[in-house]
Amino acid sequence: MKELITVNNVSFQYPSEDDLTLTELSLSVYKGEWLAIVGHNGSGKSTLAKLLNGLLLPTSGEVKVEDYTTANEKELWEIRRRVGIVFQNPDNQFVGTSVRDDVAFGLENFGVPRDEMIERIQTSIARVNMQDFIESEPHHLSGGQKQRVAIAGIIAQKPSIIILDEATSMLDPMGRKEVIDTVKQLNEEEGITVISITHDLEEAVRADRVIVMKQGAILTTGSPREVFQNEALLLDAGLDLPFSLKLGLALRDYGVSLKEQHLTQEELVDALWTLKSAD
Amino acid sequence: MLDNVIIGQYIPGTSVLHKMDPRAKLLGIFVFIFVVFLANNWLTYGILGVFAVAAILLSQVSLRYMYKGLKPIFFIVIFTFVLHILMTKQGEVVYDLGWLKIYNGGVKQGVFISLRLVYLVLVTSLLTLTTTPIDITDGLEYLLAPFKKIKLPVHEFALMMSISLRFIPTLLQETEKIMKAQMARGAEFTAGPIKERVKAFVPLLVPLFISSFKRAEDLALAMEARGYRGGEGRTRLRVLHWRFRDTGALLLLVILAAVLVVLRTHG
Amino acid sequence: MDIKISGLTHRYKAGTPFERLALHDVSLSIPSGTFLAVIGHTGSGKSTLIQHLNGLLKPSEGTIKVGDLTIAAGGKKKQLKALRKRVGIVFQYPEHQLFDETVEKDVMFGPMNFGQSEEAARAAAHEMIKLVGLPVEVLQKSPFDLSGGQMRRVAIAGVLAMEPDVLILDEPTAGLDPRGRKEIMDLFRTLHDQRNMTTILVTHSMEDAAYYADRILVMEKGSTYLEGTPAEIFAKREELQAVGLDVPETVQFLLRWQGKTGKPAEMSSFTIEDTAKAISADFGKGGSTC
Repeated sequence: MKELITVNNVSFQYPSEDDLTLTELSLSVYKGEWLAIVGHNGSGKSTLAKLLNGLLLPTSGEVKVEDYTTANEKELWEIRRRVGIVFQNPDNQFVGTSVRDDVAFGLENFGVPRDEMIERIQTSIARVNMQDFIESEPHHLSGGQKQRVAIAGIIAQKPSIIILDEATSMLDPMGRKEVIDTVKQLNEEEGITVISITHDLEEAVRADRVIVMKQGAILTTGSPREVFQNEALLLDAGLDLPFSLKLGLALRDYGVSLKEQHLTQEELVDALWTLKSAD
Repeated sequence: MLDNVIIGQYIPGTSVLHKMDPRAKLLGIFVFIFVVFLANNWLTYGILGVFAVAAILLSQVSLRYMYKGLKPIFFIVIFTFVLHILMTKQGEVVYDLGWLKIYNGGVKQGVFISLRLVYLVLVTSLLTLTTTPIDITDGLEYLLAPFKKIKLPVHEFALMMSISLRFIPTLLQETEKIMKAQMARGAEFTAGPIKERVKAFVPLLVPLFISSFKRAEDLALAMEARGYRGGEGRTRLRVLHWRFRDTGALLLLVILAAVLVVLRTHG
Repeated sequence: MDIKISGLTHRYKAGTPFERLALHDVSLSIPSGTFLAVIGHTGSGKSTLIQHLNGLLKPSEGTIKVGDLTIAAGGKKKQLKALRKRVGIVFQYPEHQLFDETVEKDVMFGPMNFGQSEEAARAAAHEMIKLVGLPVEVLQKSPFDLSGGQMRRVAIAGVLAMEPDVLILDEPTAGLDPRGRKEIMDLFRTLHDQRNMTTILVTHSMEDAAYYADRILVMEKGSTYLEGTPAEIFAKREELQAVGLDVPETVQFLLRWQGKTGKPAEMSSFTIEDTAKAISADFGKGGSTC
């Protein structure tokens, strides 16, 4: 698999803080994957997101996106076009006075010619299913709709990576589903790489790969199956367990001899049924 | 009360005035302000009146609405009128109360100045009633573009305006939310003497400031993430189209000015 | 304190072209000491309903009775203040309402508005800060130097310090991580039990409604859609799904399990513990049949 982002031995310290927020962190992001980064508040996961497109620059170490490095100011713009971030607060990233103007904002910044801009705006707004709202003003949209507009703004830039920086944490369940479904589709159909920074472990369970962070370092990484096998480690990172895992543990306490952890309700029911049939 | 102020409100529509280029409308207003000062007799004020009414009819904004919008300035108009009647001592006495003499020159002057005010308010209202704020901003940015040469931050100014416009409804919603939260904690925003009332606004203003700063910070970060780096090398989605009718409208104003110059009382 | 809502209708911007019917003929009675969860989609009328309970919105039609206070269309202002003293609201993202120089002053703001003496208010602030799980040292700090989670607790203490009889919680855990969510919700349930309060929780989480509430009200399009105990409500999965809601995860799981075993499972408790216990009963070592 092609490596899109390389984080090499990166440390980061905010000028106002005494301690390092990230310590000698290294990781790779591969083309087309859905990578979930989970961790307790203050684990450094949002700082990491900002390092990935050069909004913050490492105190030491290097961040490379494709063949560009965030250390070189001239290459920053190439990186920002390729790496889009959807932030947490839907209101505070909506720049335009209407949906169309907001999607145009990034394209205008990158100097896309107007004719091409109009075409790209059309397609990307349709891609997130907001074509009926193209003239709408932001205060008439729901949180989920605003986040979808933010996604449209990013895909109009033809990026290779979308970062969701807790992009669903302020939304109601319906809005959350709208946003995740939209990004899932982009990931599957267009091969856009997704890095999702999230508290939502049910979402992390569905990722291709999970990174667990604690105190500015990577605690573990692997497939959800591997990572969620180790509940002690998750609890150590200050995380709650996904529902099926919690239930599996409780069942064992009640003497049901399940052999391994099951990530989804379907798997757990099947495993229980197999167990019962053998009973 | 504030609902009645119509300057600054936009009424969607498809009239000729709505379709005009905002630059033409802005320039038009600019010219009109000078033209109004050319009128100095009944005939010229009459012509201006016909022009203003014609413009309102063209805009398809209802006359009743315009009249409602004028109401808040009636006080100023009447005040100006009375002031002129009392201060101007020209022409014949038309009314004599002994201690107060009203001259026909004063009446005339009062009517003229009042009309001047009404015309100015009507026509400038038409600009905002038929042009979206964002179009006005665009128009201003284009018109002021030459000043970029002398390092005036025209692009930044226009961006600032458009972001303000974008966030006004958001801030209003936020204000309502915080007000409700404080009222639920027993705060009152209406009762008591003025000093108390000012103090009562602290619990509203502090949270509003803090959230606005937070918003500004978030927004700056989001803009940077989306590749914003100032006006240079930027393309634009919004373009303005100057059409024949825009030139026509400005020509009409110039003709109006010429007519007024000829018909005004000289000397 | 008993609450009785009769024929409550609310129109936003009545008499303008933007008029919108937000609540339609809602009648509901909440006996003193109830922990009621209100669920429904954004725009179902939940927020409008709770704002009536402390007079932030006035009914277009109908009445609201809280204890011996009655609020009707066109009610008086004095009554509203009396009502607000009895009914406290923790709004969504309550940390946005903090404003004073110190945590202590901010928490004292509510009680003093309702005529408490400074000493009484200060004592309340000390008590409530401890109650929400913060050290008393934070009282002298600026609320804006605290972390987001701590600010949320301070704001909650500010409402609790008014010692309301009825506590309304509008998604009090929105934006918190799972651990913070559980801590805050546990706090509210403990308070409810210890102080004999009436609690109304507006939430999107079926799990919270199931675990913490005694009764559930489901709102849809400005009307009451379902009302009952959690067991009654979550036995009606189809009705819930018809309005885009669902049963809690534990019930979903039990239903799946029933689909396999073919025998209906008991659904009166919604904790993971009890779900595990119910399922283990189907296994030999669990004790019963097979």
